Amino acid sequence: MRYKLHTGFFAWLLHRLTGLALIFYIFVHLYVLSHIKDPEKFESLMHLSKNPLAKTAEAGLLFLIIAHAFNGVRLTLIDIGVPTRYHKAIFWTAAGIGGVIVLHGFWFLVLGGAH
Amino acid sequence: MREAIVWFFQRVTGAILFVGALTHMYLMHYSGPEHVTLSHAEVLKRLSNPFWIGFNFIFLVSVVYHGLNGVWGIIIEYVRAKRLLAFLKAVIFFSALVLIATGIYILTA
Repeated sequence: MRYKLHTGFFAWLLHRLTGLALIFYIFVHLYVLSHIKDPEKFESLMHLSKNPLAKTAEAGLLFLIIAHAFNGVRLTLIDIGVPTRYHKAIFWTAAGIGGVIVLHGFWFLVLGGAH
Repeated sequence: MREAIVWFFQRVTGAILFVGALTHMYLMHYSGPEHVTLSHAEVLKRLSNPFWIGFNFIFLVSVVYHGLNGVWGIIIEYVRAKRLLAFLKAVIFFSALVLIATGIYILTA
């Protein structure tokens, strides 16, 4: 392995795993939506998404998207040549903002914070 | 050169997805009635608006390119056997075709 165990490695692994999970989700997502011309089937599938377990999965999906999106911004900044000494700060800034969004999402979607 | 173009498009689609996925997530998961998933009628209503059809089409193409190109990047890191690589490449292209066709079918609802 040419990767070392530091924040860069962790971010790289997280990007890879969240990316794989997301493309898998896209297949499931488009499969579910492909029933759109059959209102009854569509509503019954959508109804499944209202139970607490699905709401938890929805918060998990938010985590995958936010982690991958913020990591992507971090990678782009590094690619366009932001000096190495800022890399850790970029990582923790992204992790901080992303963490707040995910925690808010969990509160909103799972704990019923919106109601 | 070809690699540079592939890399460039991965970045461009990534930027589109950053905006697109967050907008999509917000609209579909946060702002429905009682913040639950939209009903069939509401989804159809949104899909009848040319702006959202365009948005979703660009979103679809970007997701498929970005996701499958990402998977391909992982494959070529680990797989060395030429025949297996050719097979996996065919699987990737077939998947792209299926996802795009499914997406267009959904958008024509």
